[in-house]
Amino acid sequence: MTLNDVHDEPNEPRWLRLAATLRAAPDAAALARVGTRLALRSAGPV
Amino acid sequence: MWAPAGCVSQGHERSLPWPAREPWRPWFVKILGKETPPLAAAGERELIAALRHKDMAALEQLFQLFGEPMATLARSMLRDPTEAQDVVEEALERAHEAGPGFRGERGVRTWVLRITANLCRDRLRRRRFTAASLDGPALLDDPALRFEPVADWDEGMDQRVLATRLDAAIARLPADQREAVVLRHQLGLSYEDMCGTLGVPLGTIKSRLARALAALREDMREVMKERE
Repeated sequence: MTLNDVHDEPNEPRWLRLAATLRAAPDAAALARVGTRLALRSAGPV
Repeated sequence: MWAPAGCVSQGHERSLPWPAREPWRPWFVKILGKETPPLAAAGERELIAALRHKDMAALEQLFQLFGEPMATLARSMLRDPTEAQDVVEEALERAHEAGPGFRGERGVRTWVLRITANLCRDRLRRRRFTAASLDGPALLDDPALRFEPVADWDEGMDQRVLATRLDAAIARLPADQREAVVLRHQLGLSYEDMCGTLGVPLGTIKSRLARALAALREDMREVMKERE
């Protein structure tokens, strides 16, 4: 099963396939920000 | 050890009384003629092990593999790019913190999407989200959205415009139905994975999808009429 598997069920209209065309991209800097917050947290309160 | 008559193992090569059977190999090996290691399963096991050790490299891999579905789910549920981004980051933090307790029964994707879905629900609850307040940017105006056209689209209608209308129709669905539609039709999850992600029985998922589809049909009927 992949993220792009198509579900061709008999009662599904064709336009529903277009739902899979909508993709949000995560912010590339997200991981760096998460890493910083985790590092600060593990360093404990100042 | 048991062996068929006439085929007693002598510890060396000997001719068999029946045609030697080719050992089982997956179809891609037969076609490509080379062994492809089961990277998916092994990779998942390694990732789970690394997550349990709170390895930062595991978090990076998690982001690379599932950042897009997490962002898509959060964006479609919240309709607010900034809030969706916050949810993705919070979900990564939670995955890192919860890593040591993760047993991996339902797979990493199901797990991170479940964390993301729970965070979205918390936010929706907090801001008393209603269908009427879904005024997030439309598909064509949202810089965080990518449009990946369907390859064999021969409907004679601009699929980008139609996708935008569908996106708006999905946004008008109640949160529980929207969640089901996003997981099933945007992210392509199986029913089994949806049960794991949403933590509800199959019957509930099918019922939500059926109600959502009825509402979407109604909405899209108008769109189709406009196009005629």
